[in-house]
Amino acid sequence: MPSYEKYIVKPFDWADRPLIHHDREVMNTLGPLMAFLNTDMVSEADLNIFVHHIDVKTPPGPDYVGIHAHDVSQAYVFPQPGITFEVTLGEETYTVDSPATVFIPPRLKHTVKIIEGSGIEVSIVRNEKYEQSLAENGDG
Amino acid sequence: MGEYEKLIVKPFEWGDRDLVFHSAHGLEELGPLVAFLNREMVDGADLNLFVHHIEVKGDDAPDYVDVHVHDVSQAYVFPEAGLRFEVILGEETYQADSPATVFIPPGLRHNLKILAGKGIEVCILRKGYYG
Repeated sequence: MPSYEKYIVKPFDWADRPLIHHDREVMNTLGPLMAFLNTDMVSEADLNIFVHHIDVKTPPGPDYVGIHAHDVSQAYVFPQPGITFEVTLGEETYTVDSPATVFIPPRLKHTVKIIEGSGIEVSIVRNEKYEQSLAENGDG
Repeated sequence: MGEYEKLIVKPFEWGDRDLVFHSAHGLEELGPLVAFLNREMVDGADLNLFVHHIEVKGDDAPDYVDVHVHDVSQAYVFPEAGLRFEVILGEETYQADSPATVFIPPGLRHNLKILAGKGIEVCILRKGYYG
């Protein structure tokens, strides 16, 4: 196998695997969560990337992630129009229409909820494995 | 405006701004390049994110980026089916179909060409600016 082919990877459905702070069963009612990059897929990867395919059938969408923090930065990217989401940053809550980006500095407590619409969300954590980035106690 | 509202940003079309190593004309021929995050949009951001909306209209897709290298890691994410692309990693050339991710470690020479199809590419660089 040539040396760099390992850097090209196909995504897979995270399915019923656990994701800390997330209710996977509820999350899956919105649509499949696809793993696009982590250290199990590429051992040197220092980015963790998920793509969530979302379709809210009965607005508002369900709560599926508790408030939490990472010790590294994260970004939620909603690349296309069609989704309204609510994001909590520290003690502040905002409702936003896509397309949009939310940048979350290290240790800032946050959560996200999809209110309505359909499309994709790209979650990027600037670290290796998602679980390794979780902070014990966040700020905000 | 709350303390953290500044962390929520709307994307904007890169237009005819310079992008090192890239041909603006070739990029634009495929479709708009949209900036989603950089340190000018959010002070302190340590990620640079572009979304390229792509549609290859003819049989001959343009070359639009030279072989180059970054001092941090990068990822090309093609989140949905519908695109075929060619990527150069070091001296090796691969073709692949979306959905797919290409991870590029720091210091590895690389290049990208879209061969066919329609969709989006999310380009992630692990620092707050492109370069």
